Amino acid sequence: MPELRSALSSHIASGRFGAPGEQLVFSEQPLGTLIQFSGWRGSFETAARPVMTRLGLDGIGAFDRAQASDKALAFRIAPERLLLRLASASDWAAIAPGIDAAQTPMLDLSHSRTVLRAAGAAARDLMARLMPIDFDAQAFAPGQFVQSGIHSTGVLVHRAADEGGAPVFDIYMPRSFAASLWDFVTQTALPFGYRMETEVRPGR
Amino acid sequence: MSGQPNRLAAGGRIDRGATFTVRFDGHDIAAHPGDTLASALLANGVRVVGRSFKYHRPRGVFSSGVEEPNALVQKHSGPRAEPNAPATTAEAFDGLEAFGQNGWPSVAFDMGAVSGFFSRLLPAGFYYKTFVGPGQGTAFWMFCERFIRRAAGMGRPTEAPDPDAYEKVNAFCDVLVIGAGPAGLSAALAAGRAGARVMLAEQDFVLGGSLNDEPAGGAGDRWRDEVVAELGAMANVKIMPRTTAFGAYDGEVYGLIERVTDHLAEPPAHQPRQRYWQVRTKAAVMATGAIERPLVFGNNDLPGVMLAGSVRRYLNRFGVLCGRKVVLCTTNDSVYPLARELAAAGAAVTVLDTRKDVPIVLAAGLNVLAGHAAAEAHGGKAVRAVSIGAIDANGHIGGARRIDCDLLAVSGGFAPTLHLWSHPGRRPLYDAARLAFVPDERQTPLLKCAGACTGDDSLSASIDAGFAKGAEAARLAGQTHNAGAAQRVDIKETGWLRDAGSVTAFTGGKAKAFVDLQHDVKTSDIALAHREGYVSVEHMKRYTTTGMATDQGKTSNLNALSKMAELRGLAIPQVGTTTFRPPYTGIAFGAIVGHETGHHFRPTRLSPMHDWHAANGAKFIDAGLWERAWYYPQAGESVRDAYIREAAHVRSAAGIVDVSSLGKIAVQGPDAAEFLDRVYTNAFKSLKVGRLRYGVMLRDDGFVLDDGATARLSETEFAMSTTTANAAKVMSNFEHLLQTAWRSLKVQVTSVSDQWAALALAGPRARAVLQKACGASCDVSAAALPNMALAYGEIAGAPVRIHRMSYSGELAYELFIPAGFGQSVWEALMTIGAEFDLRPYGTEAMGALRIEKGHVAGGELDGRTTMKDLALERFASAKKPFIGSVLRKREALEDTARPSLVGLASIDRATPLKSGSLLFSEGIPVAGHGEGHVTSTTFSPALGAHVGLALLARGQARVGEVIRCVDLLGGSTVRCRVVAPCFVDPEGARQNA
Repeated sequence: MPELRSALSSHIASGRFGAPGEQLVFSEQPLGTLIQFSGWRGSFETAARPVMTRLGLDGIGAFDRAQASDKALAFRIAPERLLLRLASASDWAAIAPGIDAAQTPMLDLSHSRTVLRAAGAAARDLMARLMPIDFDAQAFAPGQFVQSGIHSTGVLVHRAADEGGAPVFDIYMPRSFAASLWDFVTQTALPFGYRMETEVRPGR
Repeated sequence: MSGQPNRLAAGGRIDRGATFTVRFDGHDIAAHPGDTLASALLANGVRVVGRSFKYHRPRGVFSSGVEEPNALVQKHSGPRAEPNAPATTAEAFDGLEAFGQNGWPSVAFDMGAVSGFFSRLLPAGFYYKTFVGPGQGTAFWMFCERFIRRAAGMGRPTEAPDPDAYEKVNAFCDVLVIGAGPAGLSAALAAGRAGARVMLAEQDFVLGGSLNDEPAGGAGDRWRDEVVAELGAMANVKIMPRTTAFGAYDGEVYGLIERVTDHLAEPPAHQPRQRYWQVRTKAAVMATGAIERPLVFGNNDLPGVMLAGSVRRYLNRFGVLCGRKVVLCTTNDSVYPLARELAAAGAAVTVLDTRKDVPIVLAAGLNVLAGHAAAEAHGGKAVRAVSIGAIDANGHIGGARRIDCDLLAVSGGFAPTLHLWSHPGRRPLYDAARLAFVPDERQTPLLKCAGACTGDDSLSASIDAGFAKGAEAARLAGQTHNAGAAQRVDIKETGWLRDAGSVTAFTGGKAKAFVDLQHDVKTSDIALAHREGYVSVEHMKRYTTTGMATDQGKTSNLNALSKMAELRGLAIPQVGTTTFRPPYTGIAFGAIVGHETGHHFRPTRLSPMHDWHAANGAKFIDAGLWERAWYYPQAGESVRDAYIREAAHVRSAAGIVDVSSLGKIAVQGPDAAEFLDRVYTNAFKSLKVGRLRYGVMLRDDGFVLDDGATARLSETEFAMSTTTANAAKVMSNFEHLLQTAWRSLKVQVTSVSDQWAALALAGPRARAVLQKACGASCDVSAAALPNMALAYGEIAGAPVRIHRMSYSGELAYELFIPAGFGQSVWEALMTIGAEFDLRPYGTEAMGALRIEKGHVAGGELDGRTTMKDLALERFASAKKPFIGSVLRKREALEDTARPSLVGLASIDRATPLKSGSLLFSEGIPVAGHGEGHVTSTTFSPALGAHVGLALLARGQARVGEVIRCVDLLGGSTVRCRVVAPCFVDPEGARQNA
């Protein structure tokens, strides 16, 4: 198998940066398998249900809250469109042959996104400097996600489970923008002080 | 205190335990924590701090806040230099350096003051007169313009890069309270207790507003401290001093600027200098106070003429006695507490009250001249005396007598600060009882107003109103906890509205009487505007420039309106107001820009193979947001040398180019083919699985939108390519159509530009390279993979989709690789291709190759060309409708005289053509727009000559003709022969090999 290169591979270095103190930790999360699963009004929900059940998920879900199981993380990104992030390609490989692609098209997007994780005490303050979204603890709880923009670039931001009581945000950015956005995000983070991890950590 | 002649020995709210030094115009000035630059200057006896805009008259500190029209200084020098900073709001700190403006060699002694002798030639609008002569045309104006332009402006910005960082923050809250005076603090308290998320913004560096104008240590301070302590303990309240709300926008959005480290010599490492907050709130309370209205009389601009409320602030907040022989001139009761406090501090005080009846309780113990006012101030660089006298009902003073003074403090009442309220285009109401314009809350259900900004003149009323409005705002935001009751403060109040006089301009003096201090606008200028017919408030403003300076008329608007109303015989509301627009006070561009500067001016997109290009010496060029490999120079090569070499190598051996920036769209669904039939001019339903087809897309109006190749991957799935430039536009158009006009189509379109790395292998040896790379995974022979077919293979273990198609005119393949493997596959191809002399080429060589083949690209697809113009009609189906199919047949677009695509060959072969050159037949004058223009040019390695593509009127009928390419900007002409646009291998034998 050839080397799978991250869009950030030549840009990031581990270490501490910015102001003293370490209110933020950045890491790149492995994307795994990312599948867009879609359909049409009137039929998608019915067609998707068995697929979602096999993934341990309940229906097509809401527009602002991700569904999670041990097999998949699902984002309903449009009325008849789901983004499924699977930990194991074999889980999807087992399901896909049974799907009528003509009625519920599937699209492999496993190379299209870079996932940058921002975690720590200042993670909410950082996100407030990046996006016009209310990231207050009550307004944006763990499990919620939003599609908006950072630096004029469309991104999806998912609030993952807190770590050590501190908020965690996964930023899904288009791969070709990743280096530029990473630079922009970390520049914004300098006043808080941050640590960059280069070891890719598994996580959800 | 030694060295500070005007600093009182006690009192004020400064920290006398610490002293530091600021510098003004090279002189050391002692100051204390809590001082502003203005208070430090006044304490140290500095009277002249600036020179006026037009007449270079000496000017001193006039006020104590953002309304300051005179004391505008340059803060700092070098790259942090900030012009036009009001000294009255500049927080003093150790090492602060400031400079007077508009005076040479200094504001204390200014050569520019000679312009005052020519003031009769420089009334308002004098430059307009130069437009009409003397003499013919605009010659006189153009002569004068040089001098006027040099004299215009106030302050000089630095051209050095800004060394500081700025931040932008999005904030959301339930209630935004603007202003932390008594009304604002009370509003924040109510809203906070009600459970609302509250942001409290205060432009000053201390909280309390007008409470800080009272003598220190009193009930006001205790009330303020208790309220601030309670607010500080609430986790749901954010207190933001040094934060100005500069703009109010639709949807309850407010812009705030926080001066994070402006009060420090340098921001600490990694910290911003300023922070721009974009606040989205559910409701707001405006408690922005009021600005004192000046009085208008002769020489009312002399240093030492100040607003009375500001004199009180300097006395009680900063411990500065601004004068020892003080004349207070007032239309209202507000100056009487000041009069007593000045007397207690040792000043001799005379009160001129324009009203004939002054209550004994106010005047007792003071020297009060009722029914009197100031006609003219006297002095050179500071006020020394004032002519005073009895005034009639029209404000005229006859028989004035002179009295000595060193401070003339004036009060014409108070105008509510309602700029923010007006920003979204609202017009305030005129309240005759309050002698001022006030906000109309009926127009703003989610913006409440409290305190002096509503015209209230009572402290207790302001506190009560603030509390009520804060609670109401919290309710509007859905927070309904019981806020309790407002906390009162026990202060002896002196409101100003009782029997306040309405006349604020006095005549009887001979000297200039200023309405707008910052722009040197006099009452005579208002009268001039009226005489010349500029009587509407909008015309008066622009003709005289009153209200157009950095203070936006905060101290001049009402007096100017009043003067025009008097001249026109109207009431003030009938004259109206101009529009207040953001920003309320000047804001730095840096704060608005934040991090979006330099290489972050816009985001950048990088190919999956970018690192390889960089490591191998590529030079890059911007293609939209993409950074693309432009050329790979060898030692000493210019871009021209490199692209000629690279293009020639593709035609003779093999080249590899990164085309990852091309738009890539997945089109899926049972109606995918129908969809493509509608968006492309040619048929796609008939395209077989495993084949690709070149397609052209039109706009609704019949002009060409884009072109590209689309592959059919299955019965219901297609992979579309678009140009780099139009990828987003095409994708957006598709989504629009599927969500509106074509909702019944079962089609999903998805951008997959980031999913795939893409490269092209081109040249006579391309097949050999590819076959060796794919090995047994894919047969890429001519028979197995004919032109415009696709196949799947594997290179270096990575899956690859192979399209056989050519942009260069050579035997060529486009490879699509999952992006994460893109660089690995590229590296593998380079290694395998070494045997065949495979070399990389960039976009410049790619452009040369496609021009040689006559393939259209950006220069030809500029939105003004049709299929007919570009000889692409053969791609238009006659059997089906498509977007643009009707309007492309408009009579004007079918005109055979329209410019159409041709090739141009430089007659002498060596002279390059210039893109954009206009085309003219030989023998006709070079005039007008010519007969067409050059769209693309290159040196053709294949032909060894300069060639180009062009759009020429009736072009296809003029092959063989010699014409001229005229570069009007560069001043050159090149003779060219009109040829067919395809210069190399028109039969296509090379690409079909």
